[in-house]
Amino acid sequence: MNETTQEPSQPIVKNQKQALGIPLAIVIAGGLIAGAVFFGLKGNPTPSPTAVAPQAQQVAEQDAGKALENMKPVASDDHIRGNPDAPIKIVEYSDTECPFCKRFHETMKQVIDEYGDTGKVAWVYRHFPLDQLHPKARKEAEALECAGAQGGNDTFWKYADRLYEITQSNDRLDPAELPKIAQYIGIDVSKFNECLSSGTYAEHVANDLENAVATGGRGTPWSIFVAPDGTKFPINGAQPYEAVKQLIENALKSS
Amino acid sequence: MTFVRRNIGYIILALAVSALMLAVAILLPNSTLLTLLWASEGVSVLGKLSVTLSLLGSLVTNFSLLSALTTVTISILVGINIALMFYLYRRQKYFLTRGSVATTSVGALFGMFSVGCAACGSIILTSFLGVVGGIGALTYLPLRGQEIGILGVLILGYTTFLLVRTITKPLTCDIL
Repeated sequence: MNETTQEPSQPIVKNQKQALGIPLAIVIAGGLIAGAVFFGLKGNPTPSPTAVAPQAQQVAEQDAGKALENMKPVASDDHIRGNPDAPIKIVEYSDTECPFCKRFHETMKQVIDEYGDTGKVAWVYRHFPLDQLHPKARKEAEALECAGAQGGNDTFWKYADRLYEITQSNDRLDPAELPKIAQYIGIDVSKFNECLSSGTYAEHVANDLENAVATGGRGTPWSIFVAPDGTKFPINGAQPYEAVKQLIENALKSS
Repeated sequence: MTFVRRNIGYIILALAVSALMLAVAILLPNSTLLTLLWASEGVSVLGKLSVTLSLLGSLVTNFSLLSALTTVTISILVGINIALMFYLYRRQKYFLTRGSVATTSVGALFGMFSVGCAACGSIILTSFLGVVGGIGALTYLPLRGQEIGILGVLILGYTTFLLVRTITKPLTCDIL
């Protein structure tokens, strides 16, 4: 007897293709994740991210809210746009070659346009270059610091605004553009080049990156919203202006 | 119109599941923010709601076109899959194989893994693997991880096909 019948409560169709679908999907899923782990751990000779790896693992085990307390306090050596004593601070960890950081840069400019003049919000900029995705971002972060070192806080922001304006993101900015930006904003190009090639600010950038990871940052833009009472809220990604505005309004109402 | 009227319950179910899945997919990268916000006593319920709803706008600001498309497609397909499963169970008294449930779940899982791939590493997968493993893995993928979303769409498309075929197939005993 080749013909079989089944109880109504049993599957009516025992399709071979359907039966193959599940293990195939699971094998593909497993393969992808295993591949991600393998290549991710094997493939990166860059020293800095490797150096932060144990810390990242440690942070992953911590409560996400507690990790925010690892944020380096806002200090006078930070790059701040708006009133440094503003009750609300938004500390952004950013990668100049990330397209979403470029988008969020405009959002934050809009925030400062609305809340900066009244002294209610301060925007603090820190570096979070993702070397594996954007190898050029680390040097660009140093370029921002070199501009700031030469002309102060305003020059830092002018350089940052111009860089975000002209970069096409995803590592497409020609490094030759960096001194051109310096020239564009009116600082001494030879001093700028000297600063950039000396790597004076490499450690500063590395410290920012390390702090971003310690606070729970896993991608960019990564921002920490500090309310007037000191409560910290993480903002992951390029959130719309309306979302940032609502957070600000809530914080102002409850203060 | 008769089809719509006769199956309105299933259509509503599909739409509700799709909307829920999409909202979860968009809000997932900011789950910590939402958890802290909703636990905060100083913020009114209306204020909490307004932040939550405004975060849904990140589908436009925090996703590439491809990742937004795959996320929306996956959400729709999960909704359709769930409605079809209910249809099979209630109308035909067909008991779902563990396979179809598992495959739909795998497809949905892929969808969740692909969430926010676009946001320079801020995806669920990088959170899962840690910043180094996750981002390192993305550099080896031509679409920087958005492949996972495409795979989710394919898997869910396949399960939808299987479910529709089962529904439209006459109830017969097959020759193995």
